[in-house]
Amino acid sequence: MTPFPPFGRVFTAGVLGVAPSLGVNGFVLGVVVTVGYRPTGSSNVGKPPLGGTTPSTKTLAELVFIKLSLNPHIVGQPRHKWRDLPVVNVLNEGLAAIEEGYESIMFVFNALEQEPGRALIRAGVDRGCWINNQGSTCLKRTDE
Amino acid sequence: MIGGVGLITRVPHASNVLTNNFTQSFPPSDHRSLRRRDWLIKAKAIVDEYVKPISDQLGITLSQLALKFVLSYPVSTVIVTVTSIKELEEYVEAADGSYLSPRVLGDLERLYDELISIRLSQ
Repeated sequence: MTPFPPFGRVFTAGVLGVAPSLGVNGFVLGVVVTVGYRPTGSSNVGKPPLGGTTPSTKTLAELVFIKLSLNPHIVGQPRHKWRDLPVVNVLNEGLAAIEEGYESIMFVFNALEQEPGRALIRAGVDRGCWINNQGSTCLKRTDE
Repeated sequence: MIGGVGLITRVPHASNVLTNNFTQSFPPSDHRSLRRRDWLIKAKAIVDEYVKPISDQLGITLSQLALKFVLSYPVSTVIVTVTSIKELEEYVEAADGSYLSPRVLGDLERLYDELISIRLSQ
């Protein structure tokens, strides 16, 4: 996994579901994002995001500000210093976000970087309800 | 709580390694410059040897294979980086609802599990 960009720890509640109506499966060009921000670090996994018990809504600019505020040692330093940031545990953060009921999560996924993407996809699907590039799908949970 | 979990994926082309426009260096202001150079070199070698032949065999471009790979999973969307109309047309063409067969997808997963993940983590 790549530690950058810093938004790897940001889970996105965005505009989805428009792709099928556009006839372009799976594509949303120019995603509008409002985001819930999770504090970094493994000790924060499972805790609610900043701003309360429900996912907070913040702009991208606010997130950058929060990011810098939480890492004052990098403020004012060249951008390449992001390299020195600790690697975010994307898998654990993502699983926690799914469990907490975030509307969506965003992660790096490609043929060369298949994990933790495959695990997150499995978790999202196993949860019984997801939105995919063919439209929304929801299965009845057996425990309800 | 039960609700839809949107699965938004990004970086489908792995900093252009999974395209035919790959370059090893980027301007400092380009976020791709944050990739380790040795990672890029190793990744490019793997793509040339193992992944590019698959796209050639399927008769699609490397970029399209990369997108079809992602869209073969139940993801909500994939965020692409587009820098030209030509790229946009190429990418949209890949999202035609015809994705990778279980056999090809299995091959790419095995390739990752048995080779790519190991080599790129070294």
